[in-house]
Amino acid sequence: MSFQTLARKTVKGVMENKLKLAVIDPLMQGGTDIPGKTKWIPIKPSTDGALVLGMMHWIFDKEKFDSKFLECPNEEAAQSIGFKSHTNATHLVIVDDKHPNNKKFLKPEDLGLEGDGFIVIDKKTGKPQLHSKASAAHLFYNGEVEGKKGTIKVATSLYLLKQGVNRYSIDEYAKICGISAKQIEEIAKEFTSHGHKVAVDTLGGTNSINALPFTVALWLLPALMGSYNMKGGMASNGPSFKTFAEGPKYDLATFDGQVKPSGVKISREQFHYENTTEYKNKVAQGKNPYPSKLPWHTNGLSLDGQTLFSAINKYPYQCKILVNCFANPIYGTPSLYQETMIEEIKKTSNIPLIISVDIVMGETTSYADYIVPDTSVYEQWAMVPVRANINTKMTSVRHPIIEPATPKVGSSNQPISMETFLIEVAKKVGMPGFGGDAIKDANGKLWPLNTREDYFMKAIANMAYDGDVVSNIEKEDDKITGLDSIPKHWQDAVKADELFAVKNVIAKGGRFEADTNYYDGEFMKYGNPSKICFYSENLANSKNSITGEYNEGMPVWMPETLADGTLVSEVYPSEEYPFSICSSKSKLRGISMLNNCPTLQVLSDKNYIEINALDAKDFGLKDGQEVTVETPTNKATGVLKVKQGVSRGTLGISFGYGKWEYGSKDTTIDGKVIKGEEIRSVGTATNPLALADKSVEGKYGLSDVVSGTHNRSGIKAKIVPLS
Amino acid sequence: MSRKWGMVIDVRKCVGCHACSAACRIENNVTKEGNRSWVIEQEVSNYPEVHTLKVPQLCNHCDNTPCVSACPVEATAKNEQGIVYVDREKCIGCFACVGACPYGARIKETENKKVDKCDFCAHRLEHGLLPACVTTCTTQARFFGDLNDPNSTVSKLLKENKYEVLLPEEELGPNVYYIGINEYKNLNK
Repeated sequence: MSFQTLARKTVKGVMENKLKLAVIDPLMQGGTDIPGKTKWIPIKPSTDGALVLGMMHWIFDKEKFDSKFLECPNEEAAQSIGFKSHTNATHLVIVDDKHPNNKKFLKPEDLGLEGDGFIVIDKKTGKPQLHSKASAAHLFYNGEVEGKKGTIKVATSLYLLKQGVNRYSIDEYAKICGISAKQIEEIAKEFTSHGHKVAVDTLGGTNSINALPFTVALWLLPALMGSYNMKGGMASNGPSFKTFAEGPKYDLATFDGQVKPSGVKISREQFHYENTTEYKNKVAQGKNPYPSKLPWHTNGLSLDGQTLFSAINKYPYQCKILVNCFANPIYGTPSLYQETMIEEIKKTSNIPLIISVDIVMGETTSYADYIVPDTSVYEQWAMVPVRANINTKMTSVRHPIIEPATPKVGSSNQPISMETFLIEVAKKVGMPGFGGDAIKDANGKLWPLNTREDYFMKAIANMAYDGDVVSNIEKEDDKITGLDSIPKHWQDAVKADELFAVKNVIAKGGRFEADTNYYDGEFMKYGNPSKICFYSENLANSKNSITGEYNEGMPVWMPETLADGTLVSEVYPSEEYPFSICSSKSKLRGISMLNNCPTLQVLSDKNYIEINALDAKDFGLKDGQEVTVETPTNKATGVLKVKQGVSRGTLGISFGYGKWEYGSKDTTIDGKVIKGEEIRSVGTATNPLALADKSVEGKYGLSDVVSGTHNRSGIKAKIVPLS
Repeated sequence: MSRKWGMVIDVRKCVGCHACSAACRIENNVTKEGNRSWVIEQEVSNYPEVHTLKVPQLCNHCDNTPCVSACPVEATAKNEQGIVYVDREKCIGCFACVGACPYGARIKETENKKVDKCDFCAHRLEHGLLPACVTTCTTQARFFGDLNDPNSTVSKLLKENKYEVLLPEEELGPNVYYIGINEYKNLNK
């Protein structure tokens, strides 16, 4: 939904001459694309960071940032001059090797001052001051301050950012990303010509092993102009209605006997290697604690893709049961579907039990010991919050429009699904929060949780009564939606007086604020005043668990490297691997579970290996030719498409094709053969081609050490003709 | 004067999302053998100044109808509102009309021995609804209405904009008009 909204808004804006649009992408995908009004800027895969840092270089050189805004050291100061965000641009950081708090923000106690917070150099007095007590502060202070125990070398966050940016010249950045210095300057000039009415957005560029500094730098660009939460600037998603948390009618988040999850995540995320027993033991034995067996992703979040790498290495601990649902990591994770990795996934000594909840024999499910049939989108419940580009309050609701085709099981005789499986297993093993007396309503009365409707109907009741109460369903709507004949256990899951408002939410597909409520004067209506950090103390004080070196606190250009810091371009030189793969999301197969959609099979049956016409000429390759794409770790075949709209040295291969399971081949269940549909497997998949990282001890897919981001784009490759 | 249905498509607004093609297939239960509505994407100009021209296509519901003339059993005709339709009861699956259409707008249903084609979603028009491809268009690039009514959106768009038709050399009097194609094609010059 959200991307169509973006397409509609950009087309409208460009057609009305209200929007200038530059699309920076290794692949010219031709969405909003109008001659004379939009521009495609071809960039080399995995070099987006160089472009953004190059733009920042120009912005700093020409002082085109909004200095009045950046000089505001706190929220009140920024609000008093009309902004709804502030930054830590002026906050001082200790840059003193001899100081125990080196790389950390300077604190009042370091100077013997009273109070809490950060220190800035007050513009009025030229002296250190609490950030909350100054209305404007110096942006680029770099020098000494008088501390409790002598002088301390300090610099502002913005000074450190600028210093990082200036490590390379604009010409060097231009050479790295393949966009001329002149064009980088033009984009930067355009970007800084509209005050705070500028914004950035991204997707693909964040999927490389050097994407963290790019992603951070990109979000910092509009912060230099004060764009956050401003009309015409950067907006956060609109809020959602209350659903599963404690709502006005039911509390679906807490229950008696609840145990909160704790411990270290198997994905090695949000945890410092230095806090592990492995590290402490090595230190105690007098050994160099670095490298760790696999990288620790201190700043990664929700790294489901790293889970299987951990499992096959039994690191940081043994995985006992892997339950997979709503996911297909063996197709979706770069570098995983490779012989050496799959061998390890099959070993029961690595993963003793795999249970997969799925609607088809998916790539991951095919390795499961037990397969639990799930319900399809037409048979299930879901509450979907706001996605990007919608800035009003909304939550959409999906409800089963047909009786699930899965067999009925368990104590409540319900169709098997992910929810039924969880409820029945929980009841069997006696977990709290399931069965009778599980859910508390607003009056303290307890309700059972035996069916999925016991849960979802209550979540919708919370939505219906969040703020203004939704009106009851009209008789006509009740009839045409079929909600007049819902099963009794749906009705019994909420109070009788709530049922008709609940049904109205279901009938409308959710609850949606009017699309016109975007602004509050010059501010975005939603979006709390936010603080944007140009320097991250957290990042600067964490170490790369392989090299033992400190991470950078601000974005600086990072070439693609193995975990141990070796340049990918040195190990796999461009003479041997002249291309970088750019994995894109195609319009007609954007996610991994559309291969069984007959409409999309007809509209686009396969993907191609897209190559620039000049590169094709250089390598003697022809449109429509069958080729093998070889990477240092794997190979795949596909059909070439020669195009003008591909950057030099790039192979564009869209995601979602080239599956090897997912109902593409015959499957025998209880002696009965279910015929496969070959069309589901057509095309080329890029994830199995992604590089393995041989610089670490374990079997591991090349990823960014700090964030855990995989080698989805930027995979080094060569092309070998088949015919 | 009776109605004369027609369509105007602003190709500059098309993002090539194919939502029209998909909606049409679902609305009209189109078989896997073809599409009633589809989008052609073509690169214009050269790297790196390239743009992509997207042209949504469908039956042009022409004034002159070689397809109708080709039919030996009068199974296809143009109705009084300008819609060229197929009477599937009468269609014998000889596919003579398929070859007669220069736009490739007719689908050979080899298994069913029938011809399928766009009828501007006549079943929706009867109920005052727009064709599925028009209502589903993400960027509102498609407009539909009565070409005989000077106040209709389509008539106004044709009055206010430069437009063209596909394959004008066939001289069939097509009733699907395009705005903006030349802005792309001129880049090749």
